[in-house]
Amino acid sequence: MASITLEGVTKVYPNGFEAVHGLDLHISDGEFMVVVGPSGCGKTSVLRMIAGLEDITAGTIRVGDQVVNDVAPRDRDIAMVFQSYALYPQMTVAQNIGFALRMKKMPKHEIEQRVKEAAAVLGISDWLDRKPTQLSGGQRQRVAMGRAIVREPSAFLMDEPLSNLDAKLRVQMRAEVARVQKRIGVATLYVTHDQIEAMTLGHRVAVLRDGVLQQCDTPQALYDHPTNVFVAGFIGSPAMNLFEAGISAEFGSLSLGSQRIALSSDAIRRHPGLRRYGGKEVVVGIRPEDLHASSGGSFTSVITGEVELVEALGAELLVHFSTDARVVQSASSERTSGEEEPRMPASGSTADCVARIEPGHPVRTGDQFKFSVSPDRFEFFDPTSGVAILD
Amino acid sequence: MLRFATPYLLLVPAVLIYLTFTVYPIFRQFNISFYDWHIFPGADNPFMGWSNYIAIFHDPVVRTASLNSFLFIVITVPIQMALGLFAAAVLTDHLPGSMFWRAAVYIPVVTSWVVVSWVFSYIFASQGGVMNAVVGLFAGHTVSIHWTAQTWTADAVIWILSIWKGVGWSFIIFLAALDGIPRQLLESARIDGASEIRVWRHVVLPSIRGAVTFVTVLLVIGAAQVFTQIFEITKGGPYNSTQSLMTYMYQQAFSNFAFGYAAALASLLAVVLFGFSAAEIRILRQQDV
Repeated sequence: MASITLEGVTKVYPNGFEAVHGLDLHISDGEFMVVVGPSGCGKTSVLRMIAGLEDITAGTIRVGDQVVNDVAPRDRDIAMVFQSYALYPQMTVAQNIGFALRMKKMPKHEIEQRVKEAAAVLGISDWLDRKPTQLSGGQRQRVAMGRAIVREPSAFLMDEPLSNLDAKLRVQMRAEVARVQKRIGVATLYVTHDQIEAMTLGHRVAVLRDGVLQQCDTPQALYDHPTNVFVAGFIGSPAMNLFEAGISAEFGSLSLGSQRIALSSDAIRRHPGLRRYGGKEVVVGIRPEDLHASSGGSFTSVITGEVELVEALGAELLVHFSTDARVVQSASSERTSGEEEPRMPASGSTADCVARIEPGHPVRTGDQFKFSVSPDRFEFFDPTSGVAILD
Repeated sequence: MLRFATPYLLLVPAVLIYLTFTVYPIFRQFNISFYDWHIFPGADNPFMGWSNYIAIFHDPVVRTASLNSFLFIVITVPIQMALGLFAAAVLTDHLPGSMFWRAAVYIPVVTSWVVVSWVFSYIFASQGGVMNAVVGLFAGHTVSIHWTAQTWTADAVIWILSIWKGVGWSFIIFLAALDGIPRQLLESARIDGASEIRVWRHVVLPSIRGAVTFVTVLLVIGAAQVFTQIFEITKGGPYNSTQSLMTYMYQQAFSNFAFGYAAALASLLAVVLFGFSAAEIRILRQQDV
């Protein structure tokens, strides 16, 4: 067992595309680290460099104390689960799981023993004589996991292993992955574009954008204190609502379009940096669950919006609404695969705002609805750099 | 009614062509093999029963031709496959210049057998041939080896020509098969601790098994029917020593006008090749289970 350390790792492909830029990341022994980001952000390149499947252009990768920059994949003692599972089609499940042990020239009886143990851990003992083509997606995924854990590797890499499964199976296998990782207790790097997987699985989550690390922290810290507009928009589903807003010169209020919201002293205390923005523009972020249907209590202000759509999910209502405030679209929500991202957030008035409210409220499309808010729950960002305004 | 009949009506032209140009000649050839058949209209074609077949088993040239065909298969097929697979493995990555080399390996396939057979005849000519000039350079004096007039050297010339012209075909099949192997399968094996040799043994070769079987079956069928290069370079000589079954069949039919005998030879060859192909396909299906 070992830690994984990346220091200033950069990857530039022969066509000049810089996939990863100066990445510093440390995954402690036993830690479950999730790397998340939109398509093309460089997360898979990071994984492949650690596995030794891609050369690194600059920087250092360590597994434990050993620098592995020039070590062949087979000598790194790292196991990997691929998105496509990469099971050997001509081999049985048992042969697939035992392949790495055969390559180590381990005695046959020991291979059989370890294959049976791994199969028992994953609940696949009944399928050992089957070929991969005779298995369902979920079963193949378990075999791929078995092939990785049977080696008892120093570190474990997973490249979007659940993305080929249907939604229900994905939820089930997510728990399975977490259980297995806890059991084997090795440093694990898990790559995904699904932020729910990232939040539920990771001890820590690293958010990557254009090959640059945006923030690396516990899932709750990422959610509560995003360091910039990109992370704020990427982490959370539905995404954080981001508006252009003006701070009054005396810091007493915030203007959202034609609406004015009183700023509490708590809000200023939580974000002392706001004092530099008196009379200036900021980007304000409001989580959908911080827009409430009921009034009174700790809610000191109200935002009024025209309801455009109501999604009843049973346990909650997702209310899509619009206001006359200019909405800032986080780059993460705008991006499509292969498209260049703007560095600065874009703004416009047509974008969707979402509130997550308790069921049972009489909300209808076309209503002018008053959402109660508590400004001390707001997040604030610099409108030029997109960086969170904290101190 | 028309709706029901339409698919069958659309099939009629293809079925007619197949029956006329494939099925009928096979049965007609089998029928001819039982006669002392003459090509001239109105000629008497006496029924011979199994005589042509019995004669084949007593004909020393058939034994020589069978041996030559067998040697041609066991020498040219494995070498073509090995070289084709090697070239495909080297050129499977899109390295600079790989398109040029891919074309270079494949170009002999699209050349004419007659033309390249003549070119090889000139290369291996006893007087003024390039090969004798090369050997002379090493020997330090002029040599005049009669390459195509001696059995083993003539066989070697035919083998070399056939391998050179045939490698591109197996190369292109293997290239497609190698391109079809998911990259993650190879990477997974490398991460699992396999050396490159073991990656080939445990992942690559099993993954292209279908292509290997396909190439083997078609190359063996093609090699068993070797004709043009022998006909153009040695005409089966000297003294029938380089005859193949096909060249001897041709000679019997169109030089000796023994059409019944040639048809019997063709029937036997067809049965052998059919049996071989069936066995290969059976093995392929067993491997796929």
